[in-house]
Amino acid sequence: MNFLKKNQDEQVAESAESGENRPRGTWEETSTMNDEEAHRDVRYSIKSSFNQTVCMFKTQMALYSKRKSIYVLLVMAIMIPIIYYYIKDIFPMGTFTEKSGNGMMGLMLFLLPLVMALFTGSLLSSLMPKEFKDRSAYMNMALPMSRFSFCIGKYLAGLVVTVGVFVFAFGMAMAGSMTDYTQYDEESLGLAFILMVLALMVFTSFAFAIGCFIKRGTTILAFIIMGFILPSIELYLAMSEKVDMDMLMFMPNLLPDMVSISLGSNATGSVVGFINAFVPIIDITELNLVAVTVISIVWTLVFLGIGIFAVSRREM
Amino acid sequence: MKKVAFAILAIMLMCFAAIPTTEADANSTETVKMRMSDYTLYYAEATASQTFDITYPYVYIYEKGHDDSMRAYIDDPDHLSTPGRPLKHINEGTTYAIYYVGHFQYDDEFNHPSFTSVLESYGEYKIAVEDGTAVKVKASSAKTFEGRDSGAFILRTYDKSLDYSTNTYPVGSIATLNYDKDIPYYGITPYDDDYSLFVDIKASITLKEFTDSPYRYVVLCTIVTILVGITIAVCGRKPKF
Repeated sequence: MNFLKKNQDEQVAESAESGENRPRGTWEETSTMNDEEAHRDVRYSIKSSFNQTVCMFKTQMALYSKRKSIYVLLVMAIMIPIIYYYIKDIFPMGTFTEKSGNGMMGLMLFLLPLVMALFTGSLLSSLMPKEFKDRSAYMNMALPMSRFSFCIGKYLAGLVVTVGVFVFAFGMAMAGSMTDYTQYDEESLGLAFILMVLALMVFTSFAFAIGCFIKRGTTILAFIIMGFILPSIELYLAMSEKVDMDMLMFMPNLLPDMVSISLGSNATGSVVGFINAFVPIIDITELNLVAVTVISIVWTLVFLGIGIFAVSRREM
Repeated sequence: MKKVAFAILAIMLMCFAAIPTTEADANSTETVKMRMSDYTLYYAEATASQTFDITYPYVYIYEKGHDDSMRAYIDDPDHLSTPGRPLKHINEGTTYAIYYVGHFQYDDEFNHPSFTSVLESYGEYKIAVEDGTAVKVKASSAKTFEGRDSGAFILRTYDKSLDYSTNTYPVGSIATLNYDKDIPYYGITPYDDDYSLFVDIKASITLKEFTDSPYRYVVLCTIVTILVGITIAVCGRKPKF
């Protein structure tokens, strides 16, 4: 990094000012090096926690730029409208047929809950285990970088990439629906967009926290928990009336379902979302956006904190 | 590069700033009386193009203006009255009021070539979406006069020949309907598995019109994607330590 080089340059400049201008390589005669030549007094450091985080963020982004799964998902996002029209032509959609641009977008994002669980699991769950497994964390840790910055930098890189990919998919669904419709409910679009960003925060932080506890990177664990186990438990509790149905509106893991439903689709591809087509589980008009936002942020911070705590306790 | 990033960020902020300025029309919730049944009661006024006898079941035909007994029967929630005897002999050139009970308005048993008018669902809440607008419909509750809840609504999408397709929405969910030149109107009726013929119910329907353009969000999505792409491209270079 530039500021590392700068520190070295400053040392050299200080040496020049102090009059020590003997040519380099004299240790070959004495077989010893003085402190300056041995860089004993040079402190290699990244200036601040912020810079450490940025450094880690950039490093992780560089690694992500080589991940094929990101490009595969981007291609899939481009294919969303094509796949939708193909399915619509082949199979009668019956009760799921869209009646509006918003509804069409919702249907195009039918699989959002499962894809989000899968992709965030793939991208974030393997972050930490891979570092420790490949021993690349040792290289990073060799710099005076706090584990907090190490974790935050990596998490932010994962979050930014997932936001980019899913916003792109959202835009592709919108562009696809614009071939048939021109009027949209902007309020629903705005709500869906905000819910999607919140959902990404929730899913990425959870997948990151899971990754901090396991030794080998795995996508499937976070995917199963967020995509099936948690929704099934919530559904069981709601159906058996042990929990009020309205409480489901505050469950952050159901945010991707709410994205599709707020757009006008009455069903999604998840456990809860599919049943919602027949039994009203998520009444999006009763959504308290402020409360959901607060819960999502708290969820994100808690799981991020758990992940960082686990890494800080982990033996190198 | 920084200037480009700032410019993109500024445009994005402008997009966000502009979003709250657009307000959809105010909600208009109204309580409407609708008819719930598994079979649907259809109604039409039609002039016969030939003289013939009709013996089809479930078809009640009266001369126009002489269908008071049927109207009274339909409007009576307890169905204490009985409809008047329907006509069996149809005369050419006479206009008739036709009531028909069935699953579809084009059942073979009714589809007589002498009548050119099409049947419409009787007691259905009709929603016409005007050109340049879209409508959000929420059926928030539906109760029969006996106090029983209806769990779902059927939304019918009529085409120009008034043939239709149906969607079922649970009570509380929202149907968003866009204008379609091939669809004269949408119809909404309550649905219940535990049906009986001609059960009148009260339903709360919220209609909300909007004419928003999606371009602001297209721009927003494009900018966010570009920003992330630039970030990956910039950071994708080998980091210098």
